[in-house]
Amino acid sequence: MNKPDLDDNWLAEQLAEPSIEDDGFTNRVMSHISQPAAREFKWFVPLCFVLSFACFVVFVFLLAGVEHQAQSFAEFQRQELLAMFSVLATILLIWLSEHIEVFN
Amino acid sequence: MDAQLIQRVQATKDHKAFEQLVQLYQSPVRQFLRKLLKHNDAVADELAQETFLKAFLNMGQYQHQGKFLSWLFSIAYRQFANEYRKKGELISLDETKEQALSSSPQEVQWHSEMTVKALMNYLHTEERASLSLHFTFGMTHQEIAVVMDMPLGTVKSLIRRSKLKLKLLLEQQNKELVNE
Repeated sequence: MNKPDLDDNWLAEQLAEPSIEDDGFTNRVMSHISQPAAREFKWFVPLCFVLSFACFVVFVFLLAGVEHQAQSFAEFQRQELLAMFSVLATILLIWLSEHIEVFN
Repeated sequence: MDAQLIQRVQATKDHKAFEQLVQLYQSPVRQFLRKLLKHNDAVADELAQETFLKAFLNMGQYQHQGKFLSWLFSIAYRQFANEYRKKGELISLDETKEQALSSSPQEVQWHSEMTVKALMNYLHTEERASLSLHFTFGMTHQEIAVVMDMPLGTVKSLIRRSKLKLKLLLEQQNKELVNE
């Protein structure tokens, strides 16, 4: 240690560090990982609502068209079911975003 | 193997792959930050955690040019600089050490068995960082220039100056020990 000559190899030897044990460090990092990732997809749920509303409006217009063409009541019900289906599909997507890792 | 793990994180934000990367690289990143923070281990580990979180969020920016560890070091160094330099906390600490360095040997309170690692604490943050990156982690001057966001020439002169300072400190200490 008392050797004042700063030879590069000697200095590298003096400044070498033993490896640090993990001691739960990785787990602490990973426990925080999902939070920022979820923040990244913050836009996903509002987007689902907007899409749902847009689908609903589109189907309402379709229904109006159907009415003008004097389609049968059964046809009307079918279109209404489609509109409902779009809403249900959106709800399902929102549920998936909360529970499936691919969205997080 | 590293490249595959990195690609998996970049493609699908694969948590398992990133976990393996943290396990592989936690030691050097924590060592580097501990050296920058003069072995304030708790704060260094907190910054290391933030470094990995930032790396995860910005994995897409890593272009597979240069070592992954260099990229992690550059994030760690930026985190450290943002958190501490702006607050001026380390600058004031450095000033204290600078005073010690400029004092006459009689005024410096040497510990009888100060190691080179301990004497490193008497150097400026940038000097400590450059010496650690070069001698502890074996990085080239070019890699250090990228990590510290400095021109290559500045890094070379910084390392030269830091080595000289360290040599002076060792000589001062040796004189003290001979006089005791």
